[in-house]
Amino acid sequence: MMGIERITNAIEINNVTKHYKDFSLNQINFTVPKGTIMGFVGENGAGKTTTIKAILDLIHTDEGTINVLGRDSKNLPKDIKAQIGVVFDGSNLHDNMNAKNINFIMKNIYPNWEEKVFNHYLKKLNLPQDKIFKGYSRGMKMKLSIAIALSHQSKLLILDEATSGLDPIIRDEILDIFMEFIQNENHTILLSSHIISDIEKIADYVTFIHKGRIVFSKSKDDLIYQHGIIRCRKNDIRNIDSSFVVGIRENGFGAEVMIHSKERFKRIYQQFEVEKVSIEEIMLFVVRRKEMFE
Amino acid sequence: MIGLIIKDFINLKRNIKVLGFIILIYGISSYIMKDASYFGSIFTLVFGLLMLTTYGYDDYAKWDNYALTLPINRNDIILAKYMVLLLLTFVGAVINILFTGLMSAIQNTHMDTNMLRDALIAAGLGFALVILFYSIVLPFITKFGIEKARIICILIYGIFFGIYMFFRNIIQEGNSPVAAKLIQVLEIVRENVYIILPVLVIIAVVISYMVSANIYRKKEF
Repeated sequence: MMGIERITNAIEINNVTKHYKDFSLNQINFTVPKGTIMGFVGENGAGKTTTIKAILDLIHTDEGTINVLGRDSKNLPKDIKAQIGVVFDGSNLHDNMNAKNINFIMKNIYPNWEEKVFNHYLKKLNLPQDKIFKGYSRGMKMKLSIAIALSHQSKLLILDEATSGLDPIIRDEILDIFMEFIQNENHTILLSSHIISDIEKIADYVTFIHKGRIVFSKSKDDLIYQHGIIRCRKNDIRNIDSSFVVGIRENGFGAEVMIHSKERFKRIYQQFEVEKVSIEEIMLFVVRRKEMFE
Repeated sequence: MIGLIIKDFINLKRNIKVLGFIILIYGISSYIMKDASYFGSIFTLVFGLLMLTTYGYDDYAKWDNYALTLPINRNDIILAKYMVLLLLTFVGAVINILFTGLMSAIQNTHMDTNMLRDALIAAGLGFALVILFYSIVLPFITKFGIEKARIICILIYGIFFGIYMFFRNIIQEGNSPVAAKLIQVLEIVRENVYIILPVLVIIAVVISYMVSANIYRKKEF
């Protein structure tokens, strides 16, 4: 069996397609390099959860292949599954159980379950052991799911909207735990979210999905360094080589133009001041451009 | 897989109080009516009903989505459910026997070997009926989910009851050759009940499990 040390990508998705009546995932391609945090972004209904379900073999894809930790994702062997921690939006745990019950159940499911680690996280995240989950807040339930995901020597965390609906303080606490986890070079995180600020804070790579298609999958730093915004008069737009333009936003006073290949642009058009962009702005401009041409 | 069975029993823990209450109520009723056997099989039935409750809890928590990301495969999830069914019904049958024994001790009825034998057969019959019922129902639950399958459960229960009434009527009407034949068959079944029942139960459970596992393998979440 291929050891985790020898693979370069924790997840590889090749040409995955899945059709539903009213929605399709189209030719999804992207990889999650081992040792990194991949932010998986897109609006609600863009296909994030469907893609994650495909990775986890919860749905049957129509085309394409997916590799997880070096193995075909269909019918993953138990020892590989035991190295993956999954957190869904919503806790999926029964309301009339408590953390002690979960410990007992998981001890009998995970061959590599670490009771001590689990108890450590319960304490660290202020989760009461005896309280049934009915009395847990949404934030507590998410923290509990994360505690479970981290208590069986996981190498890969797959988190679907794990931070959404939580207040900023708890979100920050959770992001810190992810940062701690990723310190090990064999650890990988795929984090889907529509809260872009979380992704900007911790992700190394960003994959953007829109209407069931991947728009881009790139290093976060590259995205930010390569793109820029200029603010100019509407008339100035005509003078810019359209091959630089990602998108244009016009308003009463003038226009905002997003450009790529920032350094080259700066050399050619020294009259414009190029401002830094955020991932969120890149997404908005890219989507608008796509919609203009569709 | 043991973890999955534990999960169902922890979930059912809350129902223990209700069960205790039922046992008490039926205990008092049996004492007043001076007949324990009448109520005995109710426990097998009640424990069988708990099976539906475990599906209800799983459904409500959307547990299966999550369970499939744990180091268990789809067959394990189905197998665990069948194990829970067997365990619950077995516990129900044991309580049934204990209840009958206890009630006759309280009421000072003399229990001879024949009565004991009848009580055991009654308990075994209850056990077998519940298992047979669920062997038909579980594939439907697996396919449609507990909410939609509830109606199917009632329907299948109705069919069971209908068949029972049909044969009962024939036998009660008496002298027709069909009734004689039927009594003859039932007599053979009664004499060989120790073999027929277990074989029937095993075949039903195995086939049912294979059908459910097959449905579940193709299911999407």
